[in-house]
Amino acid sequence: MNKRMHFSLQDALFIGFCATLLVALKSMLRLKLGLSGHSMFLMTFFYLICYGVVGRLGAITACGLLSGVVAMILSIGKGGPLILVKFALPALAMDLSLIVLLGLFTLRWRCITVGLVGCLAWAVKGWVEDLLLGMTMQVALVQFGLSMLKGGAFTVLAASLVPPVLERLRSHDLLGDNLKSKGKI
Amino acid sequence: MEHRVDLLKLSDLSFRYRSDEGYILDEISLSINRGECHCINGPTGSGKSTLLNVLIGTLSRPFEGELVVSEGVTLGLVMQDPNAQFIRQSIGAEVAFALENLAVPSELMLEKVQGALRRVGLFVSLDRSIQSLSLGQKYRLMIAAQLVFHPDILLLDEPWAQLDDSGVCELISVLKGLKDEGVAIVLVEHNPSVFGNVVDTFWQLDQGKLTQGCFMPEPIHFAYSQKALVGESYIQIDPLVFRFANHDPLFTCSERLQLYSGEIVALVGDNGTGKSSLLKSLAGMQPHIPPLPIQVLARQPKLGIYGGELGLLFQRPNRQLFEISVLEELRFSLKRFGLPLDNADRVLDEMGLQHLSEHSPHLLSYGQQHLVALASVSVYQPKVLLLDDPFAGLDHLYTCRVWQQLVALSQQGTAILLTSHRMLPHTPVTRYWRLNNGELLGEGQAADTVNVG
Repeated sequence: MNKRMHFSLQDALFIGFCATLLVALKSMLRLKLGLSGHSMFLMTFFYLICYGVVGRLGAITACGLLSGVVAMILSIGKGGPLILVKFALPALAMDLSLIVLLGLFTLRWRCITVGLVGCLAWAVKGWVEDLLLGMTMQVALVQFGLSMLKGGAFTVLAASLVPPVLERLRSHDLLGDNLKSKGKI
Repeated sequence: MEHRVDLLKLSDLSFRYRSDEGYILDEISLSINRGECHCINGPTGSGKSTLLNVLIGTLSRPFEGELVVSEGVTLGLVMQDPNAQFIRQSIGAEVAFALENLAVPSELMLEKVQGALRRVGLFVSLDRSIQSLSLGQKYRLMIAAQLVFHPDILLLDEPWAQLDDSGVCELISVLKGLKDEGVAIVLVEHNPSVFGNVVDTFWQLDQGKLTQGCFMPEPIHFAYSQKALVGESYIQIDPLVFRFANHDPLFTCSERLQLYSGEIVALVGDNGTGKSSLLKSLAGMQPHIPPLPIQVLARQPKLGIYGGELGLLFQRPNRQLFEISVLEELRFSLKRFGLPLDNADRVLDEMGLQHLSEHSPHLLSYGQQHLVALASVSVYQPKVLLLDDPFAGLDHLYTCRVWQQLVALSQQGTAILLTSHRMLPHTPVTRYWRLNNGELLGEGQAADTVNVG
């Protein structure tokens, strides 16, 4: 079978669109909610929309890497050069989880599960950072648990919004044929 | 015998939008030669516009079979809704767009652009904004934008529905000239008899098959024996001068016009006379006009004050469709106004749209979108129904069904005002208003109101 390894122009443009919009919204809103984990809302939403529209493994990772590079160049968010890891790590984790979850669950539960895997990666990144800063294991684990809890809430909220948006895009014939034909949406 | 050169050839071409659906084009074969005029007709939603999109190569999905276009052949397409094709802001720039792409020297462009506009009877300033044109004028403009680069094949989608009678006459004359020049023409048309003098071959597209001949719909019979009761005045237009801000008057009205409950009034006028603008003014959604002496349901029209009492069908139905399925589209207003949701199924049944209930309204043909939009505004039975060119893109069968629906509404007391480019004989229209030479006139009882079908 001749498997397509590259993204089509349409797919590439959409991945770029999602990445740009994610970073632009993040920089424009500058949300100071004082709530840890709210950044997972936009990240989960755009990554899952990207998966839903492009419908290929690697789409989320590409979107995450692109977002990270753009954020790094424009100095958006906390983290300096490590902002790349902040965007790319959850994306990579979500893509890897899709290898297992591709045919499982309904779209809504798949989105929530994949989003939570991304949230886990994001929380692990924070945990490693805390340990590198010299925090004790016990405190770092409590911080990890809190991040997972708060980030998870925003993740579930964002993931729940994805299926209705995809349904609207599908009704306008804007979803990739590869995803629809495989019954993934 | 003169040597005939194939410009384009379709061989056993099949196409479908989804793999789980049947073929909308099923093993179609067609050969187009220089100087030929083909006319394709068929029921609403049978795939006529899809066929044109296949011919010009704008469909992104793959098809089966063979499409061969001779080397160097250029094609021009005018779609059913010309708004979908505009790229530039002004008339001159739009017509010149193709010339720019063909690297025509700029000093030659002006003459070519003016010539193309003259040819379609559009005598307007080149700097004028496209948005200020009516839909019919936009259709003429898009024809000019195709003619300017002398295409080898010209594809026209439903010209009769979008043009007034003078526009159709001018188009027929243009098409004859083009044929003599060796240009091939493919028309998609619900009313093919109008172009009988130009067309060489008639085709009918039905259930995916393209065969020679004219599509003859099954006759349907229905009666509206009960004359609608004419009661309360719902719309009152006092003498007025209708003009956009900082513009010359579009039309004047020197007598009081009234629309009563239970009436079906047709507002007839040529392209660009102001029919759509008047309808939008009655609905309170026409910007850039000073306050007018108009009363709708005893109130000065204003957007949002009528709720379920007023329904407006746009000339471009896709501007008012937003739900993910046809059924949801109809249910939206019912939910909003707290009406029984079963009404949606009933109206879909009555209009013969039940088979489309789960389809996305955004993926339907122009005619089908018109039907769905009409169903969505008639389902909540408003007191006043304003319909802008409701029969555009509809075949005979669906035209009859729409009339059936309108008659039922009028018998329940709805006042209906619809626009048309031409008179509507043999229809249930009770009166006409005419927009002619910049004057809005009421013309009393329709002369001929007999049964449809």
